Amino acid sequence: MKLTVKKNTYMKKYKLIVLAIFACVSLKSWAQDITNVAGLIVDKKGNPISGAMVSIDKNPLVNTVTGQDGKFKIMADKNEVLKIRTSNDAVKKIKVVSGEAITVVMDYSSEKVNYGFGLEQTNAESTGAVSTVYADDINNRSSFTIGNSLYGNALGLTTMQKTGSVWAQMPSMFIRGLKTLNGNNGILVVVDGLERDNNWNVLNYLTPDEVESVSVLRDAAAIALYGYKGVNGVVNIVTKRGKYQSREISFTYDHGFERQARKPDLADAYTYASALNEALTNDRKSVRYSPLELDAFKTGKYPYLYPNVDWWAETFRNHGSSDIVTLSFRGGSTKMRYYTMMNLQNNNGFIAHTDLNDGYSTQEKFSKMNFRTNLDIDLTSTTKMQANIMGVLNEVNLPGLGSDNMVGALYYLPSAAFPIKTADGLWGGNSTWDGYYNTVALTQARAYSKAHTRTLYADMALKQDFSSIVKGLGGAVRLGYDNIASYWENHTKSYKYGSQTVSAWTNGEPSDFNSFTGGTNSEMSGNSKLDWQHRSFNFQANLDYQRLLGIHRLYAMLMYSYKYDNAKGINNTFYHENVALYAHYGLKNRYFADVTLMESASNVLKTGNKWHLSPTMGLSWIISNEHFMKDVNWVDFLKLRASVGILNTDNIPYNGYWNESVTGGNSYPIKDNFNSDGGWQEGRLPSLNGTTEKAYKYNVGLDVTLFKGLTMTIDGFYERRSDIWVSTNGRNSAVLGASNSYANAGTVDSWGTEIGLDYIRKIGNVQFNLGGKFTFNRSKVIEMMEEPQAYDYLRSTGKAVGQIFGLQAVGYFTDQADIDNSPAQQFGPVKPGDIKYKDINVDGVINDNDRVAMGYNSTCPEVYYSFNLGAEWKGLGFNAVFQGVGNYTAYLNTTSIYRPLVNNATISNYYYGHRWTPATPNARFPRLTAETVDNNLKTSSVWLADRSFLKLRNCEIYYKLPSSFLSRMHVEKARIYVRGVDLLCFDNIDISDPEAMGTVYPATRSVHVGLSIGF
Amino acid sequence: MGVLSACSDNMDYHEYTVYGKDYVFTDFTRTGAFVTNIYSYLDYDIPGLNSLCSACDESEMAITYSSVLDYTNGAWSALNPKSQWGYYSAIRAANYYLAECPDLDFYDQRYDKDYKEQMARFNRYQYEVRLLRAYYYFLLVRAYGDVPFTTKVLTDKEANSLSRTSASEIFKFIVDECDAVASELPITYYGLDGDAAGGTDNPETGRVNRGTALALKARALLYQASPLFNKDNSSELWKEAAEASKEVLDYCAQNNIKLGKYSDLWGADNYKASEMIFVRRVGDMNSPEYYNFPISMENAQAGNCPTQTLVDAYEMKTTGKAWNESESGYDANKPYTNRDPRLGMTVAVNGEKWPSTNPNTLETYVGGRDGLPVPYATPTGYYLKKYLDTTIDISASNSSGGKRHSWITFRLGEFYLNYAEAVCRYLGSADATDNEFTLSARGAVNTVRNRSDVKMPGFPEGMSTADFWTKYKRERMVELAFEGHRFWDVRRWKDGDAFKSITQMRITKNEDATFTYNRVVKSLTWDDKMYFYPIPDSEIRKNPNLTQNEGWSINK
Repeated sequence: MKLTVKKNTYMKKYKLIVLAIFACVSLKSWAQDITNVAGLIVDKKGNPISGAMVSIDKNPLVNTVTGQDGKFKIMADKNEVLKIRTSNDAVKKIKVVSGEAITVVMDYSSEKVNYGFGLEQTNAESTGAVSTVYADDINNRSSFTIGNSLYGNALGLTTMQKTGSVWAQMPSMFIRGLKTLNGNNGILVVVDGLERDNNWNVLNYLTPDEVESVSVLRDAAAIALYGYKGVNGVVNIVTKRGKYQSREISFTYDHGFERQARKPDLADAYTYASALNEALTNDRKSVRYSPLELDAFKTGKYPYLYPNVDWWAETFRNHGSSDIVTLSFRGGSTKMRYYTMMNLQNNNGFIAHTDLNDGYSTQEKFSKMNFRTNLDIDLTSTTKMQANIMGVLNEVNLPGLGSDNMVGALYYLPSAAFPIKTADGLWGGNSTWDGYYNTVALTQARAYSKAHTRTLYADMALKQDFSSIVKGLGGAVRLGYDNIASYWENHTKSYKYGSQTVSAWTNGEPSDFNSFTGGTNSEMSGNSKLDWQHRSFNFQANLDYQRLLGIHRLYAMLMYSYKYDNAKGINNTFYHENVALYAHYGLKNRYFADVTLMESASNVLKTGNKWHLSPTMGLSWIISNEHFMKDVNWVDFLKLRASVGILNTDNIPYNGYWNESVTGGNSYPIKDNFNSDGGWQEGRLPSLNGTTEKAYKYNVGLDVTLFKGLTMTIDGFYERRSDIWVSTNGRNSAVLGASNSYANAGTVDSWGTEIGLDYIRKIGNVQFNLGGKFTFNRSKVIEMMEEPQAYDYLRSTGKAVGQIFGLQAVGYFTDQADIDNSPAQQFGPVKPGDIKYKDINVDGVINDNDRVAMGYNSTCPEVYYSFNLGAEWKGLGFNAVFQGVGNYTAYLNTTSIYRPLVNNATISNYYYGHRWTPATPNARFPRLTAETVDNNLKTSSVWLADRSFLKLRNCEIYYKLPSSFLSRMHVEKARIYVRGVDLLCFDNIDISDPEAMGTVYPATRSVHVGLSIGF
Repeated sequence: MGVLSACSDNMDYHEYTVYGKDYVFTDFTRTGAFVTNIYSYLDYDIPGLNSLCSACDESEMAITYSSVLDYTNGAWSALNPKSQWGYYSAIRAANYYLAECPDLDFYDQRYDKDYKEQMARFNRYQYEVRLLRAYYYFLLVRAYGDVPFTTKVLTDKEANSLSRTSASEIFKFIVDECDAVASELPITYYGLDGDAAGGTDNPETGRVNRGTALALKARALLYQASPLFNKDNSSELWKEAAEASKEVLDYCAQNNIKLGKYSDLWGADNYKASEMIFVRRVGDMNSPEYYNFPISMENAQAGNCPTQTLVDAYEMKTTGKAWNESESGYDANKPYTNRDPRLGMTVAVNGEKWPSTNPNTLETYVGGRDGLPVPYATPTGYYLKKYLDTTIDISASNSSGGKRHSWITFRLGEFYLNYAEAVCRYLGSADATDNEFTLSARGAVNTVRNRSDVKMPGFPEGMSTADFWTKYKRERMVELAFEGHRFWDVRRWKDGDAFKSITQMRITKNEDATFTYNRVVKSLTWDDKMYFYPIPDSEIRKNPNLTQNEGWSINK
């Protein structure tokens, strides 16, 4: 390869050489075999990496930076080692071979492991189980938030969507499944190593555009430094930073066309009326609608008296849209680096008619502006400063009052309820369904409400090299202050509503009417409040010492961290402190060991028992660096890892659990006028001799890169969670007569595996990539101080955490004789068409003692997997990500959909088509009823469904415009794409999205077109 | 971790408040409130969703989701035990108080101007608490027979190993406690001098008094003498029961507690009725009305519907005979005329306008507005009146809100009947008297039947004991209907056959607008194991020293 020095970079090179000479004067063996090394740095897909720092390992002052084409040139001694560091902190070292141009691939082993706390290790050195996903793979869903863009992308992170509403898209997140009791399975989310709030709000405010990478910290060695809060695993979101000696301006625009997928298919007026009549007949009551009235619904002859309104279609239009605009500046000089981003997002929802008001819209609109600046400044050659600021302003505009629950009404209101408007122009409404169930009125006549969120995340770090005092000594401090607050504004109007009903028919025509009116018209009134807020303060300080002594590499750190956390309300103030000693030792670049001794404290723990030591250890062996592997060319990298740790956490049963107390008791009308002074009573018995919940974590892992393109990582883990706080209620006789204390008596085991595969191959002009991720987890409750059960199969102990129990349905009662001849079901009277259950314990009656474990849990699937594929040919490419879950159970209880007619709800066509009737004795669902029939509402196999699914999360076709064309327009690079998000879903739920179940906004599907340009 | 002292203050930061027991026991008001809490466990069973009147033959529950149906449909078991063990919370609170109260002097409040009166009230608390604790043990022994017994504040280990103490020892404890505290309690709190609970300005009349102690003793002894507990039929136990009841009668006579009108026994002011010995005050409520008003009324749920079995217990007003006795005067076409006046006060029948807020008269016949097959309508043909306040409006538009309700724990009428039962058993006949018991059993019953708004013919002289017994049981069922006695009386008499069925009245409307009345028998689940409650199965598993009551063991 021949290198030509471009004219405009000549000066830069010249300066560098001078600097190099200056720096090297003191070297003993100067200029023995100096050579001009040229090279190219590429990522694992072969794309050039710009802004990567290339330096002489032993003398970092001699350095250069790659250009846009990924190329560099440096003066180096033969046999010297070059250190390459990219802007995302991937590091690789390579030996100079005289006279040869080199190509450096920043592959898996070079990637940085984002432990946080200023630790800088690559996959080649680390011992922990950490998986990392980079910007390219994250930012391909056109999503507004980082939380909504990780599905299937990060190995070991089980994350799913909960609703289709843009402003509330906080996903669920689990690492290694359910591991403990009391719902304390939440993971820790940190941004750039700092916990920003303890409610995961940050997931809703960070855009995918500003994120460099997301790391999933899974095992004991990886989470060791996060103290009590990290025990369930950590997701570390790392934001983008600048690059030395470069300048990149990028602009992206994305426009999305959205639609609501799988909207509930609710019955029309005639079907509803027929269903209600059938239900009332089943209930042995008189029917509500006469044949004439049914006919009126069917023909639509009297639309004001017998309306047939498709509320979903009238309230929502078929399309929504979104826009995302990002402008970012990334670059730096030799002494500083910057990354600045502005991101604007706007989402226009699905409300059909929003323009019928003066001066305001009632559209569901979400808009957000993010501003981020990340600075790295080398104040002196030994002092470095880092400052990160993110500000977010967002606004949600919604029709009506939040408390109106428009979505709830949409899932509830029958088509036959009332007309949208009466003949007199009143909004529809009546005494059964008042006018505030009229979802069209809610979107047009109820004014609007707004939520505004104001966020500032700011942190700063100073890093000092103390080598002048002690060689290898350094120190750093870091401060972070975050504030996030949300205000809620109501602008409300009320309106008059009414309807007419027929009180008599003559000769087949309505002849007499009743009128109903309710509500009053009002002018718009307003109020506002601080809805919620959260603030936190972080402080970290560390002293570190690192030396390379021959074959020994040592890094040791003494770390102190402090965190204050406060949210609106009482008992929401938390303090945490950690002191840690961390040591990392490497021998011959083959054997590595990490040891962490972590001492943590929390203000919620018992006085005198706040500090606990959590030791962890990680070991790794890079087999591929062994001599005997030297000739095995097809193995690029092979590492075996193992870790073990005992981690404490500060889950507590309740505040002040160790205190003996008295509390308010019950009152009794002691005085002649029946007044009372209230009561006092002994409080809950103190939970004494308590300790902390502990996690014993074990992990083994294997990281492999083969054939210069196939990367594979496999982990197996086992965890025992012990000393979990559980109530002693299950142990103690009621003769005790007191509220029972808690004890550290719960134990849960969990285990599983994670497998990740990534394959990149270039054949001719075509670049392929294929990947797959698979995680499996399972838990087992060993002890939870469960109330003794008469039958073993009723015990939750021995089952998985969250195991669902239910009755086993064996069909439906066919007639009264069937009821009389079957074991008595003790959930109230039953009729033909009610669910018939299995008598599990064969005691002749069916009651709660006949419940058995069924399905899995409805919180976190046991299996979570994804696969992606992509190819690129001459700038034209495609990629797709599929993601699925398994061993996951749904509980079907959505109003109207699975719980029709009761309390005047409507019915879904699905239920209506699958209901029991004497003619369809093997139907999916029980008979129609307008009553609350306890027998049919018990958790049973009828209401549980397999919730596994496989989704096409995103797919995209893109074209990178050729540089020959772009350079004429002074554009560095440009890319256009068409992208589909959540277009396909394969599942067993049939009638709703398996993620967005319940009375929530339907999940959306969208198609996006976008453009990104780099200057 | 001394180095970290800078931040360690924050490590103790908290926003919750912990009150130690000193906070309570250094202050008169809070100490009083601790005692108030012990009162709050007092039972009441004003007919509602799960009242025991529908677990026996007084009424039938029309609300199909009521769990009281479990008692009579076979769903009652050690796994669905209808546990009464919540009273151990009351007992612990009492034991806790009694362990804490000695030597309290409220030093900080010694200069309060009413210190002396406060101390007087405080010094009496311990006797109130002991009486309450005895009463709670009575509730337990009545339901379970032998029960775990303690007067200590237990640790969990102790609670999990306590074995059952025999019923007779518990009865002895109750009686001894009543004897010990009776003289320490005032007859009334009205005008009590030198005591913060007394005075004339809103005195604390909700507290137990001397009569309460005497009444509990008398009722406990009656139970102990009854066949369920008195396995040897010891005459001595009947004598003790008779004496204790006589003591109550004498006490009432001396203190102007006397029988008044039957209709005064419920309503907002029933706690002031002349025969009340102790009333469990509840306060303003209208749930009994929601649960029991006739089904055709807006928001009403029919609830506890009196049975024909109960209605048949009301004798004929003129003859004093049962409806089915010869020459009783019963007219099958007018079954509710010429009946014991208490029937009309207790039970609402077809054609009656009840309650006063009901726009219609009752149609409890088949096809009527308030009768079957209207869903959840009365299955028996009747609606309940007793304990319900007819002036309460439960309609959505005109709701009157709740009104005062109080549950009769002890009233004089009961003790005339208790006396009659005990003295008849002891002396062997209805007419017998002796030097000690100068009032005969018959005389005692007749006193009750002669109350001013009842005036039923007296039991005739010279009845056989068996006849007396038959009529006595009817009288007791009628007089004490819906006051929480029948469920237990039948058990202590070991008269379980009575609960094997109930009778309903099926009323059909004839074309000429007259009605035809047919009795329909409905069988209920009864087993002799039901004389006692099952001990909750989980309790047996938690405490290896606990034994299950006969017949209730779970076969796995």
